[in-house]
Amino acid sequence: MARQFVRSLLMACSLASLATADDSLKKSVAPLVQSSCIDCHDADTDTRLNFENLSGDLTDPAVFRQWEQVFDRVTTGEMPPKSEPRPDSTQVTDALAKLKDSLKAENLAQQQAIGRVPSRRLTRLEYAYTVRDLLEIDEGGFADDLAEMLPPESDSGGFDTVAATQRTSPLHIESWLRAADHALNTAIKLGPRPESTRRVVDFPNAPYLSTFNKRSLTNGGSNLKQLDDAVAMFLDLDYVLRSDHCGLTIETAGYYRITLDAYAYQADRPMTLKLVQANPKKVGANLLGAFDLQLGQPRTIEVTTFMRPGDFLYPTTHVANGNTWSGLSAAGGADNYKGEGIAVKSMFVEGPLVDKWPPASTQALLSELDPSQSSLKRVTDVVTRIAPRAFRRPLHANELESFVNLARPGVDEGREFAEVIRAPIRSVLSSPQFLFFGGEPGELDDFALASRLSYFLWKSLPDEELFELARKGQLSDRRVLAQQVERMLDDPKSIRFVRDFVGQWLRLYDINATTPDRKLYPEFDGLLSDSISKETELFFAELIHENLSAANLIDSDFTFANRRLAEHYRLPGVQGQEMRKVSLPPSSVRGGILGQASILKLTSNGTFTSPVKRGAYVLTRLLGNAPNPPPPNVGSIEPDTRGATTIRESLNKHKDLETCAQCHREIDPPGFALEGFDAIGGFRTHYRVAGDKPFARYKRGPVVDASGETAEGEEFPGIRGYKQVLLKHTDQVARHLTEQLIIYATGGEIQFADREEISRIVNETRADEYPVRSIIHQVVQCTLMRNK
Amino acid sequence: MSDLNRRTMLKASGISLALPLLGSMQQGHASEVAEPPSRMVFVCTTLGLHAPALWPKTAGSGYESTEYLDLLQDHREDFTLFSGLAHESQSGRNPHNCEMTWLTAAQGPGLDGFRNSISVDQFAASQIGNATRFPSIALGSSSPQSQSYTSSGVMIPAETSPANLFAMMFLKGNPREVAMQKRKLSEGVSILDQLASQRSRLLRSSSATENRQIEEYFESIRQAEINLTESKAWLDRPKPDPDEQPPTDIADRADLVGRVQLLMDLIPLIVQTDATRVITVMIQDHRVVPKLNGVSGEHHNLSHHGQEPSKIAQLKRIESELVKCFSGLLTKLKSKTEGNGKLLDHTSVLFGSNLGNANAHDPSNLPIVLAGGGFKHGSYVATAMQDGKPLSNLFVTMLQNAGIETDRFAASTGTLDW
Repeated sequence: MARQFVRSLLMACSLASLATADDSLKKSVAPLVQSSCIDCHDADTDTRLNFENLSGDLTDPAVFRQWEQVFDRVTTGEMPPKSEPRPDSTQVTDALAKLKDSLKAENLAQQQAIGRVPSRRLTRLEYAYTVRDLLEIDEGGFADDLAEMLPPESDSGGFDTVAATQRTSPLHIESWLRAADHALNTAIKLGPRPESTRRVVDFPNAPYLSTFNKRSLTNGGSNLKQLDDAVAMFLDLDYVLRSDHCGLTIETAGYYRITLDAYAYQADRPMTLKLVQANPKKVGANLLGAFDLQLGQPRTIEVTTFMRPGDFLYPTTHVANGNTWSGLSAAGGADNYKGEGIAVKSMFVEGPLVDKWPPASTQALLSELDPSQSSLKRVTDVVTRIAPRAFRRPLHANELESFVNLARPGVDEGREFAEVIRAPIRSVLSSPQFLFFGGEPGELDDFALASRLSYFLWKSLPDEELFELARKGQLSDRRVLAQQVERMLDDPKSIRFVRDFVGQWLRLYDINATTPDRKLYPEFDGLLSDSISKETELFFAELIHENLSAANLIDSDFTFANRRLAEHYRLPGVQGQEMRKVSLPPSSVRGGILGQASILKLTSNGTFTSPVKRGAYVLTRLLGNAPNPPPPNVGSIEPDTRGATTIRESLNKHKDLETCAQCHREIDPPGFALEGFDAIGGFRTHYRVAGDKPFARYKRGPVVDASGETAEGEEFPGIRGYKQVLLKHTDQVARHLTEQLIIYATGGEIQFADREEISRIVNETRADEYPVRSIIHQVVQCTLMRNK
Repeated sequence: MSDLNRRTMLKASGISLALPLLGSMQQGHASEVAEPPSRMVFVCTTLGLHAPALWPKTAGSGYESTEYLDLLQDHREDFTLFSGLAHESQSGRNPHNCEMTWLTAAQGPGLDGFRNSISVDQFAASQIGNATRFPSIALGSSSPQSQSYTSSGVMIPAETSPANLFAMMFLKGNPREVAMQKRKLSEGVSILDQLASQRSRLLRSSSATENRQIEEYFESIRQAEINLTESKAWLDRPKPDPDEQPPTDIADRADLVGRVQLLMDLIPLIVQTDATRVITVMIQDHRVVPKLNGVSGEHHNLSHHGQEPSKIAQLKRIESELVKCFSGLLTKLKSKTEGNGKLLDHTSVLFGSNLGNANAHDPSNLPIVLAGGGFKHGSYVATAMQDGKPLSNLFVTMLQNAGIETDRFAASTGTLDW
């Protein structure tokens, strides 16, 4: 009550002060408006800005936005236009100072009264991780599957954590109910402890060998060769050595340890074995790992993975040589083939590996209950244990009563306890207290802060240590908070943040939206595809863990690669298919995210590269300077890959028309610099042109020109030169990164009054060249993070 | 089962239906006993249709047929082809974002701050959807992505398994399963009822701007409760006998045509048994090389043909098969009868794409074919591109034709008459 009163008082004050601010604002900018603006921006204007009817009432959001734009355009010098006489400089300074004060004051008053961001709800990924952590469910892939049960977040171009763009529909409600049901099915395991067994998959005597393999190569056979102790494979096939065809059926879900002996066969270079897990009911397969087999060194591969009933495994070869099939064909099948392959021996599958039974998830829900108590009392105990963690705060008086009451019908019918507990838990997991973030306007209390922090860096609920600090009221202490950030970033759960942040900020989530054209890019394969998104995630994680400069986003002397990716980048000396940090030679075109195949692929359509698309990406994602969308009815450039004209030549039209040039002088240059990379991120000096016949290989096309001149008139010969130009804008990149982190963490877009705090962070990290971990610390400590 | 019974049941369960418009509509239908209900079907092939193979040189009813229209020759008097239609401001973050807005007309798909709006099928379903077991059905050839969006811009996931849908529509569960389902639904309803009671507690502690989010949540709870109650009521109603064998799903994504064919085969069944009156079908990018003679590239990459003759030839191979699927659908809708006519007489089928010139992935001048629904057909209607005729106008025409009283949808400027 008292709180509400204070809030209305605050509102009243801000309104009262604005009634007078209205006149004084207009009065103080009047000299500038009269001398330099009103000629174009009066009642007869063709633009959207008319000073004659623009009020000074900043409490109106539309009016606020217009004055904010006036402030920005005059500040950057965009207005008045260069063709007009310069306004008097004191007039400008005075007007800007006054405008800034008024805009900031109004914005701050609103933030204090109602909070900077409205309550947001858990995203579907946050929901899944939270349920997983809350119910202590330890099953591989559980969170991903659970997330899939919920409607995808609406694509609003920004982060899915932003409250203003989040939607809730009846579809969400029904999905939450179903997802909670699924989670409880997974969490509660009441049967006997599953028996663990060690079973053998006898590949050297696979049934396939004596049946289908007898057929000709063109009929899907003749591709395996039986050896004394093993079986040799030469092609990348998913149907020849399947564990389920060799008698292994998975009946019980659980973790399984897989061991497999293999060696390179008839090879004169290392061979790569891929181990794959799949399910007949699911589309796609899960690559468990790629393993290099060195010459003369048999290797035992060991992997632990979570398997569900119906799952099967198969080893296959990563084929690095496009001639294997024709070689096999010439040899009349595998038996007489002399080319490289992989020999595999028997595979052992041990599991399910159970270290605790019933599993932790079942114990968390059902253990430590007094069987002498009534069912309803025990339901109350369970809900009282779960709910404060689920709601991420202490409970309010009588808050749980209605949840517990949901168990009554089941209790009255005499159902099992594990049954009657379900309705209350399902309700907790679908409740607004669980799904939405609370918090009152003003400074966040320790519990709300713990939540915001935890969902920022872990995408899930606070752990016991964070809760304990919140209970003691210590989390808001700057030093304690900093220690927690350190601890949380070092925790493996922080990979969730890295993936989700990079997935959305750099749009890495779109990496598989297109598949490269097989004729133009025959070298693109599954292993490369798998490696390229890992590179970007590992790279960003490294900036955090080693506290490296944000300038590395523009250019760096290292990246992450395995042998396959290193081949793609033509980096010598990388052995093995594990991703690891590699240094780049000074002459490398890689370095920074713009040299990474993932970014180059996701800004292409699988066939062509478009400088416009890539240029817009650089401006939007790296520099935070998104270009306006093209005006309606502007034609798009129609690609022609027959080789007569390059995309670049077509784009010259942008220079000729001033309406196009206005934006494209900014957009096109970074795109031109990236023309040296093809649609899968390979470096190129010539375009590839498709062959005439359906199965013909590509031909060498026109020479690539990756030079350009920035809007500021700086010339660059190619990507390396362009990165040098970009490095002068490191400040802008660091600012954009800071803003993105703040938007992502708080769920609110950057507002006018937030600018000073962001500038402060950028200024305070400048001396150390904007180290990323430090920026994250600053973000957590800043007022935007600590206030609602 | 009549509508009246269902309504009575809802009242008895203590839930009031706040859909007054719908009440009067349904009664309107009830009085004209013999008239079959109107249905709407929207089929989108998301990678466009190669323009030179589609559009005739001259407009009107005497148009000279083209490569693709030859495949629809049997239905020449049952469809109208349009050119020059589009939605406004569809340049999105990427050119495929306009898949989201083909049925909604929301502008700037995927750009900063984008928010989708209700799709035309869902708008129709909100008016005529409550008379059937399913208010609407969204089908997809490859993934749960659909083009159906709720009024708050949330995508309704598409069903990709014909066998699943067949089972939901026609197969009766055993009594134990049905009892179990019923118990689950009852539990769901009581949970939602209890959650609704949290409202006053929450609103007391929330500031004014938060109310949009929280209100939206409670509004969704209320609607979900109605949905669950309806689902429960339908459990007691006998499912119709389709007089056909259940389909077998095709797992192979490379069998694009087979999978699309299965979806198309479902439509006459859905229509005939009145499982729903609003259907959307999204023919998606399968991201594999389709199993078709002479095709060695992926559908998407072929659509970016760059004017290469071999790619265009392959693209046309794929698209011809899709047009044939559509033709097959019309054949079936014409061969099945109801009342005094054919199913097609009361079923408007829109077939087209969100992309015009697919090589440039350009979202203007969309290929649009409208069949059935009792419209006057048989011509090629070339609306001048510079007029910028909104596709929404055609949506309004279709809505009105289905008996829905509205004079606008999204950015419509009127109806489209020809």
